[in-house]
Amino acid sequence: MFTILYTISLVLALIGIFGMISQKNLIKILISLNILETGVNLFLVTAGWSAEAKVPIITGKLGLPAAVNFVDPLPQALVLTSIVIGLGITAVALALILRYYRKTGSLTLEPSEFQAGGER
Amino acid sequence: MSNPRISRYIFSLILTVLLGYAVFAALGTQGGTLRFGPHSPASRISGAMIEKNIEGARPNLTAKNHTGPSNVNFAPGSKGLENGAANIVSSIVADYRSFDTFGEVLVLFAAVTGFMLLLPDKKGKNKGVTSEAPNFVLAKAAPIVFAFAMITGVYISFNGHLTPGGGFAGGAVIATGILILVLSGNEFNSQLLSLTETIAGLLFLAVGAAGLVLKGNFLQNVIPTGVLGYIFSSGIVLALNLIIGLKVGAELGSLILAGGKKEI
Repeated sequence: MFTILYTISLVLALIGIFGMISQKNLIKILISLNILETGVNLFLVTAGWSAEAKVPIITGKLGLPAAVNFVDPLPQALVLTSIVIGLGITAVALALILRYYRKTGSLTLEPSEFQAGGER
Repeated sequence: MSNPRISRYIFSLILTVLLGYAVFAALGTQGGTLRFGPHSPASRISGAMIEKNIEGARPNLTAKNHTGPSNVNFAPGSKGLENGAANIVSSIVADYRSFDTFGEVLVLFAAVTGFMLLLPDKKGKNKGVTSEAPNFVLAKAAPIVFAFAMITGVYISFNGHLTPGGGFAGGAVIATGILILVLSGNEFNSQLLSLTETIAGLLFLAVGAAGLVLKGNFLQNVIPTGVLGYIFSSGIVLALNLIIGLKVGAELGSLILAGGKKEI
């Protein structure tokens, strides 16, 4: 299970990298960036995960010693920060994409007719 | 192979596979065996944070059977903890690493400011967002959903130290309510949002300055931590969760208001 989770998170991150390299549509590049973020966040959460451990919230139903019964809360706190920063990046990137669209009239990263020496 | 799209895809695939091989090789093997795998939580867990015992003070527990500082059996009702939040993630985010959270809030503020600055002006020819008139169901249901979203957002912020959630999640829910208002064609007072954001930011700084003045460290806990599991417990965590909820909700709401204007 652990290996599966690690593999899934890394494969998600690689899918994001592949999309960022191969796509030319700016929205698709942004979606790929978000997929990459999701993969990295899942990787970090998996680093503190354990099958036999509980959610790190102290409730009345805990019977075992607390210190060995919780998953590691530190990666989860870091991932919270990471999600918020990903949100900020997405917002700024969308504003930049809007500006690009207003300037060029298209969302693809094609060489425009103003640039000499473009492929097409 | 003459098609540039196909060659681009093949090049990207080769590059991604190489990168993936490098990542898996670096993470996965140590002497030919998998390095990651099942582990015991005790070997990795940040035990001092779980025990709420960072500064070395022994908690005065009223729980039934506790055998020592490394084997503390926490239960609702424990008093005198260094940090009284039942949600350990929340206690890390809003107390032990609240300076990080302060920087995180600043990052979000900078992102919203950059979004406002980068938004294209209204003089342009293209109307990027075409919005239709909202239909009957959306127009009539939006105020009701808005009210429930506001209540849920404040609830999630208020219970961030007891249940999953916290300031950021609550603020996101509040912003969702504003999004529904914008989608249904209603107006929202953006001045109110700016005022809320400013006041919440100043309150965050005030809480930090109170820790600096009274205890000697920025953002140190100055409020009594109370009894674990109660709503008014955990000192600074509750205050900061409420402040962060208001600030994030106002920031994301003003972002949605700016981005959702019909003139874009």
